[in-house]
Amino acid sequence: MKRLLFGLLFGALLAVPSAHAGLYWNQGVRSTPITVCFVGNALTARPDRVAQILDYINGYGLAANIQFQFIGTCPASVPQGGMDWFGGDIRVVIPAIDVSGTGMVPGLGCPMFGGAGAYNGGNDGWGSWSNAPDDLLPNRPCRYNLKLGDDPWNDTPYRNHALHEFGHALGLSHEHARADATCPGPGGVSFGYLTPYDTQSVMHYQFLSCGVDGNYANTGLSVWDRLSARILYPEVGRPAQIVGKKTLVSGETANLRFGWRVEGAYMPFVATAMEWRVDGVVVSTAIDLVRVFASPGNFNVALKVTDFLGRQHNGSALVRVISPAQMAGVYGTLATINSKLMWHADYAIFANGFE
Amino acid sequence: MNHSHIVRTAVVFGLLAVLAAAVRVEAQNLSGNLSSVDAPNLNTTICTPIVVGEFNNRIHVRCSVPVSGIVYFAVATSDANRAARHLALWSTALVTGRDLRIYYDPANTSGVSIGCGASDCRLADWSELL
Repeated sequence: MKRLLFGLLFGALLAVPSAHAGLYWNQGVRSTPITVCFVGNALTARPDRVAQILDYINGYGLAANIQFQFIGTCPASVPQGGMDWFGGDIRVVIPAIDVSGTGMVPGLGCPMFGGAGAYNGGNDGWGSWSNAPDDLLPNRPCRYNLKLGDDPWNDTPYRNHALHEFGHALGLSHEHARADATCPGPGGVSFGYLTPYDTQSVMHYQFLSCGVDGNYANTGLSVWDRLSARILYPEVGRPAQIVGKKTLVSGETANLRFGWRVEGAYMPFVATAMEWRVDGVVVSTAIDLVRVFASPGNFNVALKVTDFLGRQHNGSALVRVISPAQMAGVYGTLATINSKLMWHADYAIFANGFE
Repeated sequence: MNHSHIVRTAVVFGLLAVLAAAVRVEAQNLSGNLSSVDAPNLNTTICTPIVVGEFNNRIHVRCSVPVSGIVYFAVATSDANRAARHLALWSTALVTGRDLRIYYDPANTSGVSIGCGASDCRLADWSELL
């Protein structure tokens, strides 16, 4: 009952700052690195909880080009233009510290919950919430912009709960809000899909009725959460990986695909334009390159992808087309090399009883 | 069918059988361990190999595109059988223009002891030839 109460409170309060989150929130992405701080005396009053949160959110840094830079206690305001201005990109408030996480968010000129002098009564419980990336600027006068509860009905605060709120801060919306959601049923959002609907996502709410624990679990980022993070925060230089067999026999059909697509990206949204070139000549603007390479030779295949944020990703690969006789030679050489290598491995195969 | 053709055909089939066995071994390890693996620690990446190397105490593969800065995957040669299986798959992928799916723990930086740097390298748990 207590858990249900907290769940309801959590859900209700999340709606207040218009929080959505697994699919793209349509509200930008953060710059890199992303500074993270904790308001008030959190570092001295609750160092273990602070360390735990930092450990939990490290999952994003391991999955994508996301660099959280921990700057400790959030710095004091440096007022600008008659309003507060708080440093730290993500300013976290947690319970049981000397800054109240309920009621109006402190800060002269903070527009949240009705704005200064016009408090709308929101944020009156310990339901967690977070700002979207493009809220950073307008909410600089606010002392905190991410609120994370402790899940007091559980022995340990959930890993997924922290990942969920920071997922919002990175630009992800609620997975269960998707129109193709099946647990507990279709939501209202039909735009911004980065991946297929994912009940394993940390951005999914818990719905016990359909067996989804979502943000109240310790499973960590799902495979598609990691892909979503990589799509929002691509590698330095934005390389486009070309996946598919690249050594072909003449006359064989190549089927080359963009790496994100192979991993499950929802291409109708993620990519707004594709361009495949062979030796500098545009040969396709389709999602995949399906092409017969008739004659032997080396061919430079280049891929340019324009994503939903207008960013370009470029990649290239060498496609080698050889004759059947040459291919037999390749396999023959490999056979010689690998038979020597596998002299050891053969023993392991039999020893482990796999044959 | 002349003698050399027969030998070549036999070699090719032999290779395929050996490779199939290697792939099965890795796959068997995968299916056997997945349920007991702590999900948050297990990542996968599709690797288009561009370099396969052998060093004193490790083999490694360099992939065309990094994941969170990780571009090398390594296996210690202290377990020669395991290293041989990975090397067979990686070199086959490189030579035949195929891709690999590599399973690894991004938080495990213990590979530094064999020269697998924390900033750009992780130990490969399993490899699959795609």
